[in-house]
Amino acid sequence: MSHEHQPDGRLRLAAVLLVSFAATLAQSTAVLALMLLFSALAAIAFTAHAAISLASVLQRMLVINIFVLWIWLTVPIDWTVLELHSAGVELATKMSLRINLISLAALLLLAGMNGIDLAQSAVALGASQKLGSLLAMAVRQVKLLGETQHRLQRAMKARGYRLRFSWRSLRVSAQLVAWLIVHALLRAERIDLGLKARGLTTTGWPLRQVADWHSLPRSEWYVFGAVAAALGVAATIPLIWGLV
Amino acid sequence: MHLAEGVLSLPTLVGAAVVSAAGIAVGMKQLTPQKLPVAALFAAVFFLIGTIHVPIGIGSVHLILNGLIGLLLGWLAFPVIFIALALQALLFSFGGFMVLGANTLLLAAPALAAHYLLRSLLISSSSSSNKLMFIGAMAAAIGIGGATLVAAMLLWTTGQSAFIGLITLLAAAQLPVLLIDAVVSALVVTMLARTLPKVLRL
Repeated sequence: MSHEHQPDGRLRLAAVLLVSFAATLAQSTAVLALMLLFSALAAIAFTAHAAISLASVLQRMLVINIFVLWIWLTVPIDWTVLELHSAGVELATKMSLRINLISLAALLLLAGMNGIDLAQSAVALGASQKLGSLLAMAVRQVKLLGETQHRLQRAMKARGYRLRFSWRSLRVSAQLVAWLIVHALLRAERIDLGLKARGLTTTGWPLRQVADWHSLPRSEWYVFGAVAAALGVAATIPLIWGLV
Repeated sequence: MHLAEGVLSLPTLVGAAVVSAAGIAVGMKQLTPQKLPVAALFAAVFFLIGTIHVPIGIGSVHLILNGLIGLLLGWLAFPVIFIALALQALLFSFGGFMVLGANTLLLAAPALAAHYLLRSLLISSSSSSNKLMFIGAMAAAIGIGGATLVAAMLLWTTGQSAFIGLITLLAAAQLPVLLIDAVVSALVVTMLARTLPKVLRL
């Protein structure tokens, strides 16, 4: 899996963490709503420039909002007396805004980033090289094991197997998991033997050299700056208008 | 099982992240260069297990098997689960990066408990398939039950009584997951004992 031409995503990952941190700290509904509005505008701009498809954004957000539905069914309603609590409604509103804001920001900022980029970015932001190597190696193995898993599932379907809630389905699922574990262990042994045969020890998947901060593309700094500025504006406007 | 971003308070997130970081640090200390491929492959397996769905009625549940991963890996379960969750957050938007510490804690801490509670039984057990099935089922019960308990504690520290309904619904939703994980985990342990017994003694 080549990762030579992938952009350095550390500033976008840092921006996601900044948005998450700001959203978690923000206690005002107006501030959170404004932050979400800016995220939604950014989503429109991103989808208009085809950086990410609108359908995929909507699909992901729909799945995320299933949990929001849970929150609205439980937090503001007292089911024993069927009563709506204003404090619960406020809490559910803030949580819904936070969930949508952080998820949308992550979806937009990390679009096009793969696991290797994530490993590079995490190491650049201070994670250990060992953990980065583990992540990078896991990404490669997900691809390889995943391809084999799909082949196996296709073969099962071709033989007329359909997944149902039945003892047979559970047995087949267990066989698939056991097969994945056995395959993983045999593969690990092969990797180890291959390295030993070449006189090497297993030192992990080499990560690309992390670039200096000053050599990052300007566009990455602009994105980070825009996110920080948007958060600042969202926190200030409600203060000026006396909404906080 | 993931907690979504934006639900937990900052002190809870920070506390969970610190405990998870400690668990990951212990796991990483045990991660010798020779064990790195095994850990990476198990992270990949844990990630892929989450994509296996079992239909129930009109819906479906996906396998978690954190107890089984803990049973086999011990402290290594912390970095392995952390890596798999980071990939799920990036590729599927499940969970998120700010809540990664909390989600790692709720899955990896019960996994570790399964390891310490069942490992000696697994090592000493004969090839009796009933015993192996019991160990597998118990690993899943500890894994999912423990994860539900930790999730409930994290939610409680954030919202106290306001989250009681949410905690109850979350616990109820995990019941079918626990049952299915228990059956699959029991079968997996017996299958592994038959096909590659050394996996159970990593």
